[in-house]
Amino acid sequence: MTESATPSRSEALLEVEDLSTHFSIGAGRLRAVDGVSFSLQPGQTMGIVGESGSGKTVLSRTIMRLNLGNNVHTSGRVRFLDKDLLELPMKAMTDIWGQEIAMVFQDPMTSLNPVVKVGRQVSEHVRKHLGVSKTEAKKLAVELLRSVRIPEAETAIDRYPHELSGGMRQRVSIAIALACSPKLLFADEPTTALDVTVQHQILNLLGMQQQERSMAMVLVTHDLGVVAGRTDEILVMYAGKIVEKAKTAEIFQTTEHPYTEALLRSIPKTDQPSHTRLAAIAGRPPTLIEISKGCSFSPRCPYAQERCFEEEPVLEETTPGHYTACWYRVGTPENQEAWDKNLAAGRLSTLAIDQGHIVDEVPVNVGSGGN
Amino acid sequence: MLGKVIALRMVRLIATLFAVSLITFLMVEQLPGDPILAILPPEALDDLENIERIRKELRLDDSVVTRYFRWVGDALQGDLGKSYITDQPVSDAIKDRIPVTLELAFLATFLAALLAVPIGAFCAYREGSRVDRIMSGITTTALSIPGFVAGIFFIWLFTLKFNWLPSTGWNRISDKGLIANLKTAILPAASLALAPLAINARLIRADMIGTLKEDYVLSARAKGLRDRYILMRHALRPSSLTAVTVFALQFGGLIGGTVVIETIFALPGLGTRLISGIYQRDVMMIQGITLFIASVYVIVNAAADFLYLALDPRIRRR
Repeated sequence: MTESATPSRSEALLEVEDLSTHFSIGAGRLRAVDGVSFSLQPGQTMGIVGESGSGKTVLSRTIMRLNLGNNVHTSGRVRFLDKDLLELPMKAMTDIWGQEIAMVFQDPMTSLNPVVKVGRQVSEHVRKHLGVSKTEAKKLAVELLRSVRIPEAETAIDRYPHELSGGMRQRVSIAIALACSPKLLFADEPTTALDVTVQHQILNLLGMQQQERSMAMVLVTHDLGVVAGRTDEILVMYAGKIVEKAKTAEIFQTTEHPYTEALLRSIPKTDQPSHTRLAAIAGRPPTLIEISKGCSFSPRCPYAQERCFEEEPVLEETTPGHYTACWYRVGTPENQEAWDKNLAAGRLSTLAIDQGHIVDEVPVNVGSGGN
Repeated sequence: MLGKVIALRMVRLIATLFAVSLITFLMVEQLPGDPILAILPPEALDDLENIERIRKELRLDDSVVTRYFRWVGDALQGDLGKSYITDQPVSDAIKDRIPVTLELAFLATFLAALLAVPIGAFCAYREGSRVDRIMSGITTTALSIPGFVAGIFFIWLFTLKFNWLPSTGWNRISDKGLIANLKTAILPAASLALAPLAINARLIRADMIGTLKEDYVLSARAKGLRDRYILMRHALRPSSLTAVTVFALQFGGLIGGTVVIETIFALPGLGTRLISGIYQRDVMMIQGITLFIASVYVIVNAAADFLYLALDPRIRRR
């Protein structure tokens, strides 16, 4: 996999090189993450975007080495500061977890222990990492809960998670993650399980805390709307691979990958009058078990041509800082040509967008026989 | 809310105790043979007048219903009647014997819990490892050995072979002190503990394997907590609900179930008193001790329900 030389390599807080995570399962080898590289500067925010099953959660857990089980095969390199995370003994990881790198999980209903009081969950790892006393830890817990805007923090520390609302619980999760002032925070779909009204509060809270603490953040989400104003750079993943990577503004202005375009269309906003197509992506993500030749998005792609089913596109720098893996990039004349050709041939995924149908299943043989 | 839950369980508890007393009474009532025949020496059995006099004296000529309610009414006031044979009040016999049985039950439960928790937790943590598989073999073996066989083996090993511990008899704490007491208690307690230990190690292992897959265990890991801390502080409590119920059931069972072990080790416990009562056809003694054992069992079970409330704060709301 070709990869960028990052501009300021030495300053990078996190550098991921050709990272792959495969799971051995009954049916074969599941390639959840396949040859992913990127780097993150201190204090910066990276958005990782993709559908469920695109490998974004596994990617963040691989970087943190939280994937358990003996069926996990990881290769590649993860450099965090001057440490090679994948080479560290697990005991050394317990000093990094929570203290240097922390994670906010998707579902605050399940990520907090139901039988442990909130106060202890917020401060127990502080006691371990920073060696503070019990009373100090309690004081710190109250402060932390205050900093994430939990009302009546003094009494909240003696509550159990089930006594708090979903939004409050996610605030608790954030307080836990922030407790030791980590340098890097992974937020794995931090708002997916929450009410829409609460989502923005949580995202704003994360952004505010990030700035206050000048902490780097990786924001994992399926919703491009979430990362729009909140990230410096966006990484779009599909089937375990990066398909497009660029500065946030760049990716919204000049979207190059058809998958990114499709994701953008699925945001229920219509400030782009030219795009009046259906807000759904035809078909489903691939299972990641069988190795398909060609581009993994091709069965669902409205622009897919013969070549897309045969030959896998590599991630190339198209303009400085903008990387895309596609033979027929959106916005190019070749792309328009491909679209017209597919429309004329009556290709399903193209028709779905053009005529506003929803196509749930795209037949596998569409590519070879359809056009 | 909580008050209502407790009140409801108390009502259920009382109803169960009532049923227990009725069944106990009826069962003893159905025993073959006239209790009077057991009281009198063989040569006095011809004197029918005398038999009728004693029957009247013991008020055995009343109807079943009358005798049942008299017995329950007295029992509610702490009077379980007197032995027809020795004239000893049944409640005195229980008071005299219960310390031995209680100590055995407590000690056995304590031993079982002390070992079951770390074994279960470790096997769950290292699920599928060699240690896990070996422990699984050991627990299966332990489960298939009856307590009295283990007891006999322990006597052979610790008394006959090494001569470390006495094989039979009982030293009261009040007479000989704690060490001497434990010396006589440890072997029977260990024999009793074997099965509960094996069952609970397996229960805790199974529950904990489930708990370790929970998101909150992963998030505890991501906080950088040590594995042992996560196991004991985060995973154990949610994994112990089944085990706590079973421990309570076993403890209740041990109160009545030490009969065989008490006999093997010749201990002056409730079980041996019950056995001698049965041999002597001592109706009041059998009835009283059975009711007592059954009541303890039922009450301990209710207590386990309340322990649930303490272990899982989520139940307190329902």
